[in-house]
Amino acid sequence: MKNYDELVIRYLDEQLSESEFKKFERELKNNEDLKKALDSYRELSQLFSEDKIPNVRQSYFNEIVPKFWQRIEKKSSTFPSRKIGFAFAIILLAIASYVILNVNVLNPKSEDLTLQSIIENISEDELGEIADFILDDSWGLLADNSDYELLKDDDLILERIVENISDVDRFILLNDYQINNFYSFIDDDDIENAYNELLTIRIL
Amino acid sequence: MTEIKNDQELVEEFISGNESAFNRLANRYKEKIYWHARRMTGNHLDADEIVQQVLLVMYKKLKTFKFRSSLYTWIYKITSTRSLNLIKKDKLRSFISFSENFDKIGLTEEDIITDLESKEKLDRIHRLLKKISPKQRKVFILRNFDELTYDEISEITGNSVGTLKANYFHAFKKLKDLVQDEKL
Repeated sequence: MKNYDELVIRYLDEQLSESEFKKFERELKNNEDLKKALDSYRELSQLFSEDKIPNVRQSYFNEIVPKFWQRIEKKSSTFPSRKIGFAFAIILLAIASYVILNVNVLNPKSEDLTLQSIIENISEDELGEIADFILDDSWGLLADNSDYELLKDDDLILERIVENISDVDRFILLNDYQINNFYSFIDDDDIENAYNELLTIRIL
Repeated sequence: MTEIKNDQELVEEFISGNESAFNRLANRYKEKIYWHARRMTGNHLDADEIVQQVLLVMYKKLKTFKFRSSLYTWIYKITSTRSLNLIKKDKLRSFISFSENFDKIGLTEEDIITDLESKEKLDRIHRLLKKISPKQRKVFILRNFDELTYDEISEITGNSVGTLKANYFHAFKKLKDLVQDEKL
Protein backbone atom coordinates (compact mmCIF):
# COMPACT_ATOMS: atom_id res chain seq x y z
CA MET A 1 0.00 0.00 0.00
CA LYS A 2 1.32 3.40 -0.98
CA ASN A 3 2.24 5.76 1.83
CA TYR A 4 -0.07 8.76 1.76
CA ASP A 5 0.97 10.33 5.08
CA GLU A 6 2.73 13.35 3.66
CA LEU A 7 0.04 14.08 1.09
CA VAL A 8 -2.78 13.77 3.61
CA ILE A 9 -1.03 15.89 6.23
CA ARG A 10 -0.33 18.62 3.69
CA TYR A 11 -3.96 18.42 2.56
CA LEU A 12 -5.31 18.81 6.10
CA ASP A 13 -2.74 21.50 6.81
CA GLU A 14 -3.92 23.37 3.70
CA GLN A 15 -0.45 23.31 2.20
CA LEU A 16 -1.31 21.78 -1.19
CA SER A 17 -1.10 23.94 -4.28
CA GLU A 18 -4.32 24.45 -6.22
CA SER A 19 -3.44 21.80 -8.77
CA GLU A 20 -2.33 19.34 -6.07
CA PHE A 21 -5.55 19.99 -4.19
CA LYS A 22 -7.73 19.27 -7.23
CA LYS A 23 -5.76 16.11 -8.01
CA PHE A 24 -6.11 14.99 -4.39
CA GLU A 25 -9.88 15.51 -4.41
CA ARG A 26 -10.21 13.62 -7.70
CA GLU A 27 -8.14 10.70 -6.49
CA LEU A 28 -10.04 10.56 -3.24
CA LYS A 29 -13.18 9.48 -5.09
CA ASN A 30 -11.59 6.33 -6.47
CA ASN A 31 -8.70 5.51 -4.16
CA GLU A 32 -9.73 3.53 -1.07
CA ASP A 33 -6.24 3.57 0.44
CA LEU A 34 -6.07 7.33 0.23
CA LYS A 35 -9.54 7.62 1.76
CA LYS A 36 -8.52 5.30 4.58
CA ALA A 37 -5.40 7.33 5.28
CA LEU A 38 -7.40 10.55 5.28
CA ASP A 39 -9.96 9.08 7.68
CA SER A 40 -7.29 8.08 10.18
CA TYR A 41 -5.85 11.59 10.23
CA ARG A 42 -9.30 13.15 10.39
CA GLU A 43 -10.03 11.04 13.43
CA LEU A 44 -6.95 12.48 15.08
CA SER A 45 -7.93 16.03 14.12
CA GLN A 46 -11.37 15.39 15.61
CA LEU A 47 -9.78 14.17 18.84
CA PHE A 48 -7.65 17.31 19.09
CA SER A 49 -10.57 19.60 18.34
CA GLU A 50 -12.15 18.35 21.58
CA ASP A 51 -9.35 20.07 23.46
CA LYS A 52 -10.16 23.47 22.07
CA ILE A 53 -13.04 24.63 24.22
CA PRO A 54 -13.22 22.48 27.33
CA ASN A 55 -15.53 23.39 30.21
CA VAL A 56 -13.35 25.27 32.62
CA ARG A 57 -13.69 27.07 35.91
CA GLN A 58 -13.79 30.60 34.51
CA SER A 59 -13.05 32.14 37.90
CA TYR A 60 -9.49 30.86 37.53
CA PHE A 61 -8.91 33.13 34.55
CA ASN A 62 -10.50 36.04 36.39
CA GLU A 63 -8.01 35.54 39.23
CA ILE A 64 -4.85 35.49 37.09
CA VAL A 65 -4.20 39.23 36.95
CA PRO A 66 -5.07 39.97 40.63
CA LYS A 67 -2.78 37.07 41.60
CA PHE A 68 -0.04 38.61 39.49
CA TRP A 69 -0.29 41.94 41.33
CA GLN A 70 -0.24 40.16 44.68
CA ARG A 71 2.97 38.42 43.69
CA ILE A 72 4.47 41.70 42.51
CA GLU A 73 3.79 43.21 45.93
CA LYS A 74 5.24 40.20 47.72
CA LYS A 75 8.27 40.19 45.48
CA SER A 76 9.05 43.86 46.04
CA SER A 77 9.05 43.29 49.80
CA THR A 78 11.43 40.31 49.62
CA PHE A 79 13.63 41.31 46.72
CA PRO A 80 16.80 42.45 48.60
CA SER A 81 17.32 39.04 50.24
CA ARG A 82 16.69 37.31 46.91
CA LYS A 83 19.31 39.46 45.28
CA ILE A 84 21.85 38.48 47.91
CA GLY A 85 20.93 34.84 47.49
CA PHE A 86 21.25 35.13 43.74
CA ALA A 87 24.71 36.69 43.99
CA PHE A 88 25.72 33.98 46.44
CA ALA A 89 24.49 31.23 44.14
CA ILE A 90 26.43 32.70 41.23
CA ILE A 91 29.61 32.85 43.30
CA LEU A 92 29.22 29.21 44.31
CA LEU A 93 28.56 28.23 40.74
CA ALA A 94 31.73 30.01 39.67
CA ILE A 95 33.75 28.27 42.40
CA ALA A 96 32.36 24.87 41.47
CA SER A 97 33.05 25.46 37.78
CA TYR A 98 36.60 26.59 38.52
CA VAL A 99 37.34 23.59 40.72
CA ILE A 100 35.91 21.10 38.25
CA LEU A 101 37.77 22.57 35.31
CA ASN A 102 41.10 22.94 37.09
CA VAL A 103 41.10 19.81 39.16
CA ASN A 104 39.22 17.37 36.99
CA VAL A 105 40.03 18.48 33.47
CA LEU A 106 43.50 19.99 33.71
CA ASN A 107 44.71 17.60 36.37
CA PRO A 108 42.67 14.43 35.98
CA LYS A 109 44.77 12.31 38.33
CA SER A 110 43.99 14.42 41.33
CA GLU A 111 41.68 13.41 44.09
CA ASP A 112 38.13 12.71 43.00
CA LEU A 113 36.10 15.86 43.27
CA THR A 114 32.59 16.15 42.06
CA LEU A 115 29.89 18.75 42.30
CA GLN A 116 28.36 16.65 45.01
CA SER A 117 31.54 16.58 47.08
CA ILE A 118 31.93 20.32 46.67
CA ILE A 119 28.40 20.83 47.86
CA GLU A 120 29.02 18.57 50.84
CA ASN A 121 31.75 20.97 52.01
CA ILE A 122 29.42 23.91 52.12
CA SER A 123 27.70 24.55 55.41
CA GLU A 124 24.04 23.72 55.91
CA ASP A 125 23.24 27.38 56.53
CA GLU A 126 24.80 28.45 53.26
CA LEU A 127 23.03 25.73 51.37
CA GLY A 128 19.79 26.56 53.08
CA GLU A 129 20.02 30.16 52.04
CA ILE A 130 20.71 29.26 48.44
CA ALA A 131 18.05 26.60 48.35
CA ASP A 132 15.44 28.95 49.75
CA PHE A 133 16.23 31.34 47.01
CA ILE A 134 16.40 28.81 44.22
CA LEU A 135 13.39 26.75 45.22
CA ASP A 136 11.35 29.87 45.60
CA ASP A 137 12.59 31.30 42.34
CA SER A 138 9.13 31.42 40.92
CA TRP A 139 9.98 34.70 39.27
CA GLY A 140 12.58 33.05 37.11
CA LEU A 141 15.38 35.47 37.90
CA LEU A 142 17.90 32.75 37.22
CA ALA A 143 16.63 32.25 33.68
CA ASP A 144 15.68 35.79 32.96
CA ASN A 145 17.67 36.32 29.79
CA SER A 146 16.47 33.22 28.01
CA ASP A 147 13.27 34.77 26.81
CA TYR A 148 15.05 37.04 24.44
CA GLU A 149 17.07 34.48 22.63
CA LEU A 150 15.61 32.15 20.09
CA LEU A 151 16.01 28.54 21.00
CA LYS A 152 18.69 26.96 18.91
CA ASP A 153 18.39 23.63 17.15
CA ASP A 154 20.80 22.12 19.62
CA ASP A 155 18.83 23.34 22.59
CA LEU A 156 17.64 19.83 23.30
CA ILE A 157 21.16 18.41 23.54
CA LEU A 158 20.79 18.17 27.29
CA GLU A 159 17.60 16.23 26.88
CA ARG A 160 19.32 13.74 24.61
CA ILE A 161 22.24 13.41 27.03
CA VAL A 162 19.84 12.82 29.88
CA GLU A 163 17.98 10.22 27.85
CA ASN A 164 21.19 8.44 26.94
CA ILE A 165 22.69 8.48 30.39
CA SER A 166 19.37 7.45 31.91
CA ASP A 167 19.94 4.00 30.51
CA VAL A 168 23.19 3.70 32.43
CA ASP A 169 23.35 3.21 36.17
CA ARG A 170 22.36 6.61 37.45
CA PHE A 171 24.88 6.60 40.25
CA ILE A 172 27.68 6.72 37.68
CA LEU A 173 26.62 10.22 36.73
CA LEU A 174 28.50 11.85 39.54
CA ASN A 175 31.92 10.34 38.92
CA ASP A 176 34.61 12.49 37.32
CA TYR A 177 34.23 11.13 33.84
CA GLN A 178 30.52 11.71 33.68
CA ILE A 179 30.76 15.15 35.23
CA ASN A 180 33.39 16.21 32.71
CA ASN A 181 31.35 14.86 29.82
CA PHE A 182 28.28 16.50 31.17
CA TYR A 183 30.12 19.77 31.59
CA SER A 184 31.57 19.84 28.08
CA PHE A 185 28.30 19.17 26.29
CA ILE A 186 25.90 21.52 27.96
CA ASP A 187 25.58 25.28 28.01
CA ASP A 188 25.64 27.70 30.92
CA ASP A 189 21.90 27.59 31.52
CA ASP A 190 21.95 23.82 31.64
CA ILE A 191 24.83 23.84 34.11
CA GLU A 192 22.91 26.28 36.24
CA ASN A 193 19.83 24.09 36.20
CA ALA A 194 21.87 20.99 36.98
CA TYR A 195 23.61 22.75 39.80
CA ASN A 196 20.33 23.93 41.23
CA GLU A 197 19.00 20.42 41.11
CA LEU A 198 22.05 19.09 42.92
CA LEU A 199 21.56 21.67 45.60
CA THR A 200 17.94 20.69 45.87
CA ILE A 201 18.62 17.02 46.51
CA ARG A 202 21.42 17.84 48.89
CA ILE A 203 19.03 19.80 51.04
CA LEU A 204 15.69 18.02 50.74
CA MET B 1 -18.69 51.63 26.33
CA THR B 2 -15.05 50.53 26.63
CA GLU B 3 -12.89 51.56 23.72
CA ILE B 4 -11.06 48.66 22.11
CA LYS B 5 -7.43 49.61 21.77
CA ASN B 6 -4.84 47.72 19.83
CA ASP B 7 -1.74 46.21 21.39
CA GLN B 8 0.55 49.05 20.41
CA GLU B 9 -1.74 51.70 21.93
CA LEU B 10 -1.98 49.73 25.17
CA VAL B 11 1.78 49.23 25.33
CA GLU B 12 2.31 52.96 24.79
CA GLU B 13 -0.17 53.76 27.55
CA PHE B 14 1.56 51.32 29.87
CA ILE B 15 4.96 52.86 29.11
CA SER B 16 3.58 56.29 29.91
CA GLY B 17 2.60 55.02 33.35
CA ASN B 18 -0.95 53.69 33.00
CA GLU B 19 -0.86 50.31 34.73
CA SER B 20 -4.46 49.53 33.84
CA ALA B 21 -3.26 49.27 30.23
CA PHE B 22 -1.08 46.39 31.38
CA ASN B 23 -4.12 44.74 32.96
CA ARG B 24 -5.96 44.96 29.67
CA LEU B 25 -3.05 43.40 27.82
CA ALA B 26 -2.74 40.66 30.43
CA ASN B 27 -6.45 39.95 30.23
CA ARG B 28 -6.26 39.84 26.45
CA TYR B 29 -3.54 37.19 26.39
CA LYS B 30 -3.84 35.25 29.65
CA GLU B 31 -5.94 32.41 28.24
CA LYS B 32 -3.74 31.95 25.18
CA ILE B 33 -0.67 31.83 27.43
CA TYR B 34 -2.34 29.36 29.78
CA TRP B 35 -3.49 26.94 27.10
CA HIS B 36 -0.21 26.99 25.23
CA ALA B 37 1.65 26.28 28.46
CA ARG B 38 -0.84 23.63 29.51
CA ARG B 39 -0.54 21.76 26.23
CA MET B 40 3.24 21.98 26.41
CA THR B 41 3.56 20.84 30.02
CA GLY B 42 0.40 18.74 30.22
CA ASN B 43 -0.85 19.95 33.57
CA HIS B 44 -2.56 22.86 35.28
CA LEU B 45 -0.05 23.63 38.02
CA ASP B 46 2.86 24.14 35.64
CA ALA B 47 0.70 26.12 33.23
CA ASP B 48 -0.46 28.35 36.07
CA GLU B 49 3.13 29.02 37.09
CA ILE B 50 4.16 29.79 33.52
CA VAL B 51 1.29 32.26 33.10
CA GLN B 52 2.57 34.20 36.11
CA GLN B 53 6.15 34.11 34.86
CA VAL B 54 5.15 35.34 31.40
CA LEU B 55 3.13 38.21 32.87
CA LEU B 56 6.13 39.20 34.94
CA VAL B 57 8.41 39.20 31.91
CA MET B 58 5.85 41.30 30.04
CA TYR B 59 5.65 43.70 32.96
CA LYS B 60 9.42 44.04 33.20
CA LYS B 61 10.25 44.14 29.50
CA LEU B 62 7.33 45.78 27.72
CA LYS B 63 8.97 49.13 28.24
CA THR B 64 11.73 48.13 25.87
CA PHE B 65 9.48 46.38 23.36
CA LYS B 66 9.93 48.05 19.96
CA PHE B 67 7.24 46.32 17.90
CA ARG B 68 9.75 44.90 15.48
CA SER B 69 7.55 41.83 15.74
CA SER B 70 3.93 41.63 16.80
CA LEU B 71 3.23 41.55 20.50
CA TYR B 72 1.49 38.20 20.42
CA THR B 73 4.39 36.41 18.69
CA TRP B 74 6.67 37.90 21.34
CA ILE B 75 4.36 36.63 24.07
CA TYR B 76 4.23 33.18 22.47
CA LYS B 77 8.02 33.18 22.30
CA ILE B 78 8.28 33.87 26.02
CA THR B 79 5.60 31.30 26.84
CA SER B 80 7.19 28.68 24.66
CA THR B 81 10.66 29.27 26.10
CA ARG B 82 9.38 29.14 29.67
CA SER B 83 7.50 25.93 28.94
CA LEU B 84 10.55 24.27 27.42
CA ASN B 85 12.71 25.40 30.34
CA LEU B 86 10.26 23.86 32.76
CA ILE B 87 10.09 20.61 30.81
CA LYS B 88 13.89 20.42 30.78
CA LYS B 89 14.05 21.19 34.47
CA ASP B 90 11.50 18.50 35.28
CA LYS B 91 13.39 15.96 33.23
CA LEU B 92 16.63 16.84 34.93
CA ARG B 93 14.99 16.73 38.34
CA SER B 94 13.57 13.26 37.79
CA PHE B 95 16.94 12.12 36.44
CA ILE B 96 19.18 13.48 39.16
CA SER B 97 16.84 12.61 42.00
CA PHE B 98 16.93 8.97 40.83
CA SER B 99 13.18 8.83 40.51
CA GLU B 100 10.96 8.00 37.62
CA ASN B 101 9.38 10.83 35.68
CA PHE B 102 6.50 12.02 37.77
CA ASP B 103 3.39 12.16 35.63
CA LYS B 104 1.58 15.34 36.56
CA ILE B 105 -1.12 14.80 33.96
CA GLY B 106 -4.36 13.75 35.60
CA LEU B 107 -3.75 15.50 38.88
CA THR B 108 -7.19 16.71 39.85
CA GLU B 109 -6.23 18.98 42.69
CA GLU B 110 -6.77 22.64 41.81
CA ASP B 111 -7.49 21.84 38.18
CA ILE B 112 -9.80 24.15 36.32
CA ILE B 113 -11.56 21.54 34.21
CA THR B 114 -14.99 21.24 35.71
CA ASP B 115 -16.36 17.97 34.44
CA LEU B 116 -14.79 14.55 34.47
CA GLU B 117 -15.48 13.75 30.84
CA SER B 118 -13.70 16.87 29.58
CA LYS B 119 -10.82 16.19 31.92
CA GLU B 120 -10.40 12.64 30.70
CA LYS B 121 -10.41 13.79 27.08
CA LEU B 122 -7.94 16.52 27.81
CA ASP B 123 -5.65 14.20 29.78
CA ARG B 124 -5.66 11.73 26.90
CA ILE B 125 -4.68 14.45 24.44
CA HIS B 126 -1.97 15.79 26.72
CA ARG B 127 -0.55 12.31 27.31
CA LEU B 128 -0.31 11.85 23.56
CA LEU B 129 1.37 15.22 23.14
CA LYS B 130 3.91 14.34 25.81
CA LYS B 131 4.99 11.34 23.78
CA ILE B 132 6.42 13.49 21.00
CA SER B 133 9.60 15.51 21.45
CA PRO B 134 9.18 18.97 23.03
CA LYS B 135 10.41 20.58 19.84
CA GLN B 136 7.85 18.82 17.65
CA ARG B 137 5.20 19.35 20.33
CA LYS B 138 5.85 23.07 20.30
CA VAL B 139 5.44 23.34 16.53
CA PHE B 140 2.37 21.11 16.53
CA ILE B 141 0.68 23.12 19.28
CA LEU B 142 1.47 26.47 17.70
CA ARG B 143 0.12 25.30 14.36
CA ASN B 144 -2.77 23.05 15.33
CA PHE B 145 -4.12 24.64 18.50
CA ASP B 146 -2.90 28.22 18.44
CA GLU B 147 -3.58 28.28 14.70
CA LEU B 148 -0.57 30.39 13.81
CA THR B 149 0.87 30.56 10.30
CA TYR B 150 4.25 29.01 9.57
CA ASP B 151 5.70 32.50 9.14
CA GLU B 152 4.52 33.45 12.62
CA ILE B 153 5.86 30.21 14.09
CA SER B 154 9.13 30.89 12.34
CA GLU B 155 9.28 34.28 14.02
CA ILE B 156 8.67 32.63 17.40
CA THR B 157 11.05 29.71 17.07
CA GLY B 158 13.71 31.09 14.76
CA ASN B 159 13.43 27.99 12.56
CA SER B 160 12.89 28.07 8.81
CA VAL B 161 9.43 27.39 7.45
CA GLY B 162 10.73 24.21 5.79
CA THR B 163 12.04 22.89 9.10
CA LEU B 164 8.76 23.72 10.80
CA LYS B 165 6.73 21.91 8.18
CA ALA B 166 8.96 18.87 8.61
CA ASN B 167 8.50 19.06 12.39
CA TYR B 168 4.75 19.34 11.99
CA PHE B 169 4.66 16.39 9.62
CA HIS B 170 6.66 14.14 11.96
CA ALA B 171 4.60 15.20 14.95
CA PHE B 172 1.29 14.57 13.20
CA LYS B 173 2.41 11.18 11.88
CA LYS B 174 3.76 10.08 15.25
CA LEU B 175 0.52 11.09 16.94
CA LYS B 176 -1.51 9.17 14.38
CA ASP B 177 0.65 6.09 14.95
CA LEU B 178 0.24 6.44 18.71
CA VAL B 179 -3.54 6.62 18.43
CA GLN B 180 -3.55 3.57 16.18
CA ASP B 181 -1.34 1.71 18.66
CA GLU B 182 -3.82 2.50 21.40
CA LYS B 183 -6.48 0.64 19.48
CA LEU B 184 -4.43 -2.55 19.19
